[in-house]
Amino acid sequence: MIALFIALAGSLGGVARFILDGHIRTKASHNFPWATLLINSSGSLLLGMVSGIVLKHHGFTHAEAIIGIGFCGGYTTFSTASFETVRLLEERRYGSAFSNAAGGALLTVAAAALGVAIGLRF
Amino acid sequence: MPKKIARRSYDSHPNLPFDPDSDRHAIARPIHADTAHIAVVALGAFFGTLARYELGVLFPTKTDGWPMTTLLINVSGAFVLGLLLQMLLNHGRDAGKLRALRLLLGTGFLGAFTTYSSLATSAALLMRDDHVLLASMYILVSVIAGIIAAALGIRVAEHRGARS
Repeated sequence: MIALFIALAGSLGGVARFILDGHIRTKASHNFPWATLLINSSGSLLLGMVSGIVLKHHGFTHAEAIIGIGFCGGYTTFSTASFETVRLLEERRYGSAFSNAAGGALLTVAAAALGVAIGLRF
Repeated sequence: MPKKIARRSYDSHPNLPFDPDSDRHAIARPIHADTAHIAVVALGAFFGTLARYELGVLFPTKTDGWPMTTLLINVSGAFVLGLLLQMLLNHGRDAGKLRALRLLLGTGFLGAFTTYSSLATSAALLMRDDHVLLASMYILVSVIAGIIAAALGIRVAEHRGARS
């Protein structure tokens, strides 16, 4: 039964990504995948917070699984990020490709770490 | 003579989408995704999330262990996305049924199947437990393997498209 709720949350996350992505694309530069970076970072911040709370309370409740595995997992995406880096490489924009790949990794890990720190305080 | 006159003057795959998760037309008109498109993304994302969750239950990662399951999910997802997007391109313009397929399988399923938040949080937690080298290797391997996988997916579909 929990699987159903996790999948539903993931569905919501995917939709949130889709809508936000389109929104950001019209505002930011079309030449760099800012949308995916923003989405992945915010999702990692949230999952970090959930994980911090789990650590603090020494256990996983359904809510954390639904928000973490479900929503955050559906919201963030690794495949899109990888594809976009490849596209930048295909355009021979090596600096941008590196920025996207390295930036994506650094920003998301930093966001997750921050989230964990915050979550531990709950 | 200015340094950069034309941006994106070179592109080896000009017809592949730059951002596979959004609607190309979202630039032309105000951001308002159709209900049908949202439903299609929701459907794909439902199953993508379910698949990821079930695989996580089947192959759990030990605390402070190498997150192999997430890595394999992410890299395989990147490969299939490259494959998918090129295959769709082989069949025609990103419109109508082809676009619906992209949103269902790419944005929806693969977008939800793969996860950056798990990658980042696993790495952050590993670092917190002083497994800095392990975390760094995991991040590096994930990112590089993901890029190679996506590129490979595109190439494979390109090759098949060229032969048909």
